[in-house]
Amino acid sequence: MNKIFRLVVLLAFPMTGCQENGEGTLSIEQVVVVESFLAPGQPPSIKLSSVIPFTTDTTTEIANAISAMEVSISVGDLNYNLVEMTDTPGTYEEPTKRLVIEEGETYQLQFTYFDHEVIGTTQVPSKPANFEISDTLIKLPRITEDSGPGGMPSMTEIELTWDNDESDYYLLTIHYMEEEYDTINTVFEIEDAAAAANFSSQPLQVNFYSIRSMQFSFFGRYQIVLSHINPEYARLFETLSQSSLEGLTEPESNVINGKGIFTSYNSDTLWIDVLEE
Amino acid sequence: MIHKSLVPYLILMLLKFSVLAQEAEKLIINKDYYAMTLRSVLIDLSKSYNLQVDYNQEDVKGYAVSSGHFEMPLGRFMETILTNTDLKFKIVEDQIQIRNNSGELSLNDKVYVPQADFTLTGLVRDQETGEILPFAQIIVVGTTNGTTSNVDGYFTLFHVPSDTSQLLVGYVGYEKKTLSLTPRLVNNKLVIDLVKGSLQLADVNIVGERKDLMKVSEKISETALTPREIAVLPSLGEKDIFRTFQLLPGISGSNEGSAGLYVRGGTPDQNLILYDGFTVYHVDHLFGMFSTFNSNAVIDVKLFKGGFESRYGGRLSSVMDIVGKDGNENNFNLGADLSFLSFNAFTEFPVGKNITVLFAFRRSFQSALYNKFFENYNSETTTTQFGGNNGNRPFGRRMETAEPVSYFYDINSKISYNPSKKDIISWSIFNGKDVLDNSRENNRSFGGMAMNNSINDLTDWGNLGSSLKWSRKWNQKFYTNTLISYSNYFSIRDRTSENTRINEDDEYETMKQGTYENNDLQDFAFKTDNQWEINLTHRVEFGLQANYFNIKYNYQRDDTITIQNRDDQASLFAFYLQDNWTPVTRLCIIPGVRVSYYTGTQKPYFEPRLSASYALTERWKLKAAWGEYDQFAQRVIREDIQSGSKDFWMLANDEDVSVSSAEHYIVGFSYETSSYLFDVEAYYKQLNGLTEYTLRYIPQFGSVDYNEFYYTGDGYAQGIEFLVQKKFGNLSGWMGYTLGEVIYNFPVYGDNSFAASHDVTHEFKMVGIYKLKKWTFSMTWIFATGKPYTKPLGGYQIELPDETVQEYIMVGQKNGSRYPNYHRLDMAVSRNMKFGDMATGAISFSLFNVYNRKNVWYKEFEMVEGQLIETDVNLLGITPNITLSFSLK
Repeated sequence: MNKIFRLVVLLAFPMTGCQENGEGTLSIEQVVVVESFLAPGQPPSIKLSSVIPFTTDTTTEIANAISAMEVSISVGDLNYNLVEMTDTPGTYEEPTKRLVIEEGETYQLQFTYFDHEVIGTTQVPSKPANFEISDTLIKLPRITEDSGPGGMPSMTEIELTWDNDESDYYLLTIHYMEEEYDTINTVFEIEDAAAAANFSSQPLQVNFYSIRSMQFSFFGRYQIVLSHINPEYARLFETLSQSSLEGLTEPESNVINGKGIFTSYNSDTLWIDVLEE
Repeated sequence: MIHKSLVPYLILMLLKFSVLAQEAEKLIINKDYYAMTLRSVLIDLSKSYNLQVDYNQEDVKGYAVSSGHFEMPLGRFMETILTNTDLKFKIVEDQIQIRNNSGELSLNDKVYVPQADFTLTGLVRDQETGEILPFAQIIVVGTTNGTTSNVDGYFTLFHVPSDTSQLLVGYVGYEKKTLSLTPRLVNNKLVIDLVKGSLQLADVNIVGERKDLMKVSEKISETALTPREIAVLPSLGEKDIFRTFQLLPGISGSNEGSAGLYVRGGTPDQNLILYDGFTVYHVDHLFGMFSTFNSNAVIDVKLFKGGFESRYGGRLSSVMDIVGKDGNENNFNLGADLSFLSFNAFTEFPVGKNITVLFAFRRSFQSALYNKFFENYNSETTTTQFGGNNGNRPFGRRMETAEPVSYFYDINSKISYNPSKKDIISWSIFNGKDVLDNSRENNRSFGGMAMNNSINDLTDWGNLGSSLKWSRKWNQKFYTNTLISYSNYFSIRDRTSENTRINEDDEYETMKQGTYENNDLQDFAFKTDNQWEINLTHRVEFGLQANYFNIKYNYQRDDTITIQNRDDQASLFAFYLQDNWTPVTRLCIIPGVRVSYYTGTQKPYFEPRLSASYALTERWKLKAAWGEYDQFAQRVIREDIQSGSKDFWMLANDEDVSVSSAEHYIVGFSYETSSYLFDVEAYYKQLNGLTEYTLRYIPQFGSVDYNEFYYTGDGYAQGIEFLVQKKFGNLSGWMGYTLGEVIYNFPVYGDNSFAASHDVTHEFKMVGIYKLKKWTFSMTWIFATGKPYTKPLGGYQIELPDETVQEYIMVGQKNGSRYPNYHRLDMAVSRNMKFGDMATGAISFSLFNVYNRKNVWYKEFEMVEGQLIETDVNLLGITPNITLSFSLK
């Protein structure tokens, strides 16, 4: 009957706009972006900022820090209040240093923003187990104008392995530890040395990764960090549609009534030295 | 005792189509029998004109025929050739009796028993080619008693008042014919020949005769088109059936990127497309610029916009029933069209007396116009490659330019065989394919290594379908149509790069990266449709259908990760029963039911349907329909910027992809005069179990449970359509307006309903055709509200623990914004030409998007350092085209 009624209504009154703005949808000013990556042994830090609205004017806007919030993190029955850092507005830390992040614990972030309870929950994953490297030292020839075609680096691969029976997410980041950049291939100029020196993987659900010797641009010591990450962290790396044809998308947030991420990870570290042959 | 030589020499030719429908006396003899013996002339006369000639061989001996008889009516012809002989003759119908002057002419005028209130059967066909005309309308003049010919051109008309009644026979695209019945006609096999309202014929305006491009049926939501007539409309290089339907109200006309039909808020996959009885699953050529159907191979197209009858099933929204041409029964014919885009040729011919053949072929070539479409819809001839995460950007981008190879072709062929007067066997085959190859190869020598890097960028899609049909007219009242068919839709997309290298130790190393997609659908079907004309009040139709589907979908990445690998099989069995019931004159009610059993869910499905029309007066008609509809094979669409529409078919299983269902409610009325039609229909369509596929959460990494890709939701579509058509005169055409909305509700997008991506609020269309002697001018104008899209509201950044910063867009309400309104004017002019008596042709010039409106196809957004860069990607701008057509007949 309802349908027949609809049809009758349709015939009697040509359609009026039926597009209502759904209740409960937050306007852009009411949206808070949470950035927090908890790690065992590190003091928890929460960064709160606003979304930069897209307006017709072309001036670049900087996200505003969101200050003066009453932010708390609870674990079990304990509740810790965070305070805003005076030198970095919008960043909140636990002043008493009693809140220590521990593996396996579940932490909940909570605060109120524009009358909405913003909540984020995360459980700290386990530390990577049996993280091993095939070589802790490789030797590569320095490539100069005089090296000739024979001077190409060999295709040596550094194998990294760890346990991952549950197909959890892992992320590898490689940091160059030297202060001065000692270039392997001097033939080509490297524009952004920092970007070339440090690299990382996409989130991995496997238990191995190979670093090719060609991926190293500089001689020196590298830190290899394997982080056991949660799915919400992995989702930040998804390829997102940037076209209205496919439908614009944004990463699914694990923050209720907010954007961004409240997550945790657990890392293990190895080192490798890249030396001149 | 009769001497053998005196036995009258009778030739009885039982040809399927004799000349009975016309008076033999009026037959024009146009063969030249110069310097032949009288006997051989008579023999040839009986053969060539299907006449029965009765004469004594002795009587005609020694006579010859001189000249001077060319192009005479039969009576005068006989008088002429028998001058100066002692022979006399008599013609009665198709019989000629010749005796010497002393003999007796015994041929009597045939006396028929007068008939009243009798049942008449007959066949409607094309006068020129002898092709049967399905779905022609036959009505007894001065009554509302009428019927329609079936798919094989046969009709049964009950309660014809007398054998001298007049019939009015109409067929879209043909001149209407008023046929006065005679006792002789009704006692013989009635064949009604209609004359094409051909654009290639000189304009002859005969009162009462009419040729329509588009015809709105008296039945609810039904429209027919004449494929031959659409050539006068502006086109982009190929006259296109689907593009023409998009000019009707209720069918979205602003989807340039898809030839498929969005009917009354339905999506193209909810539209059942039947070609000679088999289902066609994908209709796009060249990113949807054209449909895959060659209009030179099509004789009839009917579209049911909703509320369709029980004999059709398996789709939610609409039905398009396309009947392929049978081929010319009388003569060899050859035709060709050449445009900036493609070459199109067909031939049709009879083989012997019982077989006709049609073959049509079309292929694009890479002209400037083709490249324009290609570039427009394949926005970049570049590839984006994703590298490691180095620094702030999560991926690097490397552009390579390649010369793409791209083309489409299609082939239609049909062979029809009439083994007897009651049977027709026809075999139809259709094959069409699009190929887009953007692949390239690099060979490099690098230090001590040889590297071979080949990038595959291959997109292939197409159809192969075939049906074998046997139709039999068991008797005047019972007709059966049985077919077996096969339909295959395939779509392959290979976007992988293969790196092979020989290292210093002479070892080969090969790696494959990228994605590979393959969708392969097979549909084997058996169908039988029966029509039983019980009496004037009841025509019962019933039938069975069995389908076996096998749909494969494989999606792989980096030759190690299989994201999806589906290989689904299911069968569908359906039975339907419907009655065309006319309880009182002017009222026609069609109750029906379709019962299906689908093995994919192991459930029965019950679809009751009802439609009715009532003629208030000669001019006013009321109509209504209601029905339930189910769909088992679903198309999941993934629009793709680089390669046009990307879709794949899935079988419903009620686990991740559900069987979708719809319920239609339609009411309407029409007012029709001899020149004008005013038609209004309102519809409401409830849609349940819709499936959407999303790219939203497909990670670039790791394994994925494909069940997560499918979202299920509900929705409804409602609207009201207005059509005003000027059917006749030098100026003809129509105007249509649709007010509509399509609202979806998918829980995954939140509690709120949202406008579907193809929702259009207002749509106005105007089609005008003006004929001036040999010239035809036409224009079409479309206005449509912009379609909805999801707008970005703002952006934000997240700094990761490794100090890299990622930027994200915050999206607004799902489909909460709209593109600018769409409008477009197309114009065309064509001139008909005659090349003597042998051939005809036409040249037409067409201008698409005359005022170069920049209609937005989609928007691209990019966030760079907190700033949103918004780019409009537009649809096709002004585009000219010239088409040359040529045909022997």
